[in-house]
Amino acid sequence: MSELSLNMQSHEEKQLFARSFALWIALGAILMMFAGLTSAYIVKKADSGTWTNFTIPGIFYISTLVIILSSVTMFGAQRAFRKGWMAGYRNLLLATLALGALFLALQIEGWMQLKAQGIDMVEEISGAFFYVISGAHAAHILGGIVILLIMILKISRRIKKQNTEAYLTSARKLNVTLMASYWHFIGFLWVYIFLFLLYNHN
Amino acid sequence: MSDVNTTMEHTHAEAHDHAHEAHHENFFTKYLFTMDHKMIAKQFLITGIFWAIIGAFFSVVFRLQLGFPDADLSWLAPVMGRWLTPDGALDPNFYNALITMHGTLLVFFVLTAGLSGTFANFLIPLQIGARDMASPMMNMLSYWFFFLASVIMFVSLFIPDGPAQGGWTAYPPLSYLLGHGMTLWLLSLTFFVASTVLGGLNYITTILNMRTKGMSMFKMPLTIWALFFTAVIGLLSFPVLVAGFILLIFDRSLGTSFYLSDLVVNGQFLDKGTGSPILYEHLFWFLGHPEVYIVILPAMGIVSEVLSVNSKKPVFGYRAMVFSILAITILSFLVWAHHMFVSGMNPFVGSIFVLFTLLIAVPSAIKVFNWIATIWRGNIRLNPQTMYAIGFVSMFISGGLTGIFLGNSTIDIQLHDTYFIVAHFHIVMGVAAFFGMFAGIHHWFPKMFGRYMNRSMAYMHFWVTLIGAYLIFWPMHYMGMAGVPRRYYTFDAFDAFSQFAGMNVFITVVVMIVFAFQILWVANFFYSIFKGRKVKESNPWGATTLEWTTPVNPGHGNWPGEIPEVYRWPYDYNKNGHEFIPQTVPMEEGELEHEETPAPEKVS
Ligand code: HEM
Ligand SMILES: [Cu+2]
Repeated sequence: MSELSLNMQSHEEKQLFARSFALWIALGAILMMFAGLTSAYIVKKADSGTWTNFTIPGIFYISTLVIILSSVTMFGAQRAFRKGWMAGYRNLLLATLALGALFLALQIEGWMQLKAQGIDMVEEISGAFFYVISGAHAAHILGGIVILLIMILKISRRIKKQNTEAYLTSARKLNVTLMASYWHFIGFLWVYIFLFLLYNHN
Repeated sequence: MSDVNTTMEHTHAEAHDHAHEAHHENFFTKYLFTMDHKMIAKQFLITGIFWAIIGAFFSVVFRLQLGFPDADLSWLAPVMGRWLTPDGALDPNFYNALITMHGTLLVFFVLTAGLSGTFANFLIPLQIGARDMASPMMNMLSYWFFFLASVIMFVSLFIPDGPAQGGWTAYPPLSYLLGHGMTLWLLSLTFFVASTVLGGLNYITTILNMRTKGMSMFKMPLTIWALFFTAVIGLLSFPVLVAGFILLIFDRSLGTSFYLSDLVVNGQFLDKGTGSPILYEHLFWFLGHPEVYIVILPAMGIVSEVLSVNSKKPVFGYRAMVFSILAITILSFLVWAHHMFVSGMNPFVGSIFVLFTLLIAVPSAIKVFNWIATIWRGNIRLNPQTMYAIGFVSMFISGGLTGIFLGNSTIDIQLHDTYFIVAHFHIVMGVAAFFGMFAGIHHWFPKMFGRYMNRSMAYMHFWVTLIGAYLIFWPMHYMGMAGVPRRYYTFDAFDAFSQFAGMNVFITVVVMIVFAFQILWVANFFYSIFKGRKVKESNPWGATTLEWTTPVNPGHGNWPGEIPEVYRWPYDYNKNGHEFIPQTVPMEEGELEHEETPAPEKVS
């Protein structure tokens, strides 16, 4: 290997490390967006006389449990991957995917129940905030589901070929960590949002 | 995230590319879908210049309206078309569209994307000693999101009801009532934010992770520090703007009323419930104020660098400069409500914002002092970039002083939304940031294009712009103090303001002259790319920083051999008998770092 390509190698290693760094900054940016939305919520709520109280449908407690559970399966998937147990990794990803989809379905059901209570977006600003904040969060879950799908497709193709050793490059390990970090992040983001709405909706 | 794997494969392919320079490159991969940070920088620059011409042209048209309200503009019909009434006057709605587009284009597309996009992309890898950005792929996407935002904004100029007309701040309820132009504006700016966030992610990550050996944080040039904090501000504030836009989009398209309360429009009652437009103001200015620092910080970094190189003196107070930028970054998030003193806020809250606002003057003043101390008694070469940099300092002082007036809520309540504000921010932000940008372009043009820009044209442009800018904006302070409101189509109906009719004519005439000289500068720029004097030496200005250790025309990967190692800070000028000592020169035996004081001599 020439001097030059040695040098390039280290450039790539730096880039690899930088990638996880970039993810954390991106998560910070997402957090700022939700901070903006929730601050608007608080400011508006302090405006007395314009806020209609409502009860948060019980189904949102269930969806919260589901998304926490999906973080557990994601942890499992990470562990399986690290141990080189690719079939387990794939199955746990599939479980995570299923839980993620279930979460979205429960959210939609919850919105319908809220609407049935008479809290709709156009009439009630309290409801409008609820829909927009939880909706913006759901969009991030959707993005996470797309990422999960891609990773599942990748690993399924690879399992057939049966050479996991060579597959475990540091770049691929990093990708799994990045995917998992994002998934845990949006899970905990929901927990934060849910607690926020729970304590501030009335 | 979804493309992490493909990016990885790409970087491998690219590593190959570096090795055998520009092999399988065709027109598309070299100029359009390039991942080379230097080419992406040029894409940002040229797109920025395109928008600067359009934005400036719009200002000429609305100045014609203000200076000569009765003039027949039908000669502009070929370009302006529907925007003119049959008798050749400017349609009032299109007057609003013009000022809206002027502000949006110049603040966001030119002085944010065009300035940060150009210099962050160009300078970060070159000055910290990296072959490229941390993620060249994300970098390319950042440009293409900006391009998409540009296309949408451009299209909005041609739709039947015209582009957005709600001012660059797009306050509801006005922005709620506007048509498709506003929809496209929101769409365009959403893509714009995506571009800024992707770019900013990359800039921060690159600076923190990709520095060459020896390049500790406090050995970085001030340009890098400035671009770093610019990216930090952008990442913390633009997402909040998106939050504000989301709610606005819902109000406009889905019937919610976050920002709308009961309204009477043209005698019609709109039952809109209980929203609050002030909410939007908070969300907007939480970005809006930091945004003005996003515009000015890169220019500050460029000016520090240019002044030091060209006076052959170390930057005065390097660490003070860094900590001032940090202080500005923090304070910029604590002052947004100074744009809202008349929104009916609690006076006690207002006074807190007054306090923080006035505090920003401290780091700003430190920086000004340090620039002046840097050139003081220096061996100054008055080349164009130095002139522009000095012009920047002049503008920044003038505009910063009026900022201190405005920061006092008691005075601001009188001056808010008058021409005093227009004067303040054009001088401190608009013209100053442009001077910073001109300084940067002249300084790094040899590295970007391997040629020099024409000097005589640059001097002419500099003097006309400097004097012209003061002639245009200085009188506006007096108009503002007399109460002339901004964003008015005409003042014919107000006797109180008729005294300024002559002043308006004068300003408009100067605007036209200054605009002509901006075209001269653009001509110089493009002429010099192709026909300028060729650069022969790799370090024409005698600078210490790493970009000047690359070949005259650096290829993809920047250094043909190994990336150089860094041994000293970037401002070793006039030291130990050397005019300048590049960062790559190892410290001599017993040589002191710039901050060390010589050990006291032993007294026997
Ligand atoms: C000493 C520092 C500064 C102070 C105390 C200050 C204060 C203010 C205040 C109070 C306003 C609101 C006026 C109103 O609308 O009633 C204002 C407007 C503005 N300032 Fe400054 N300013 C300072 C420096 C700057 C700098 C450095 C920039 C940009 C680089 C800037 C850009 C602007 C802009 C763009 C606006 C007007 C926005 C709009 O309403 O369209 N200011 N400034
Ligand atoms: Cu401000």
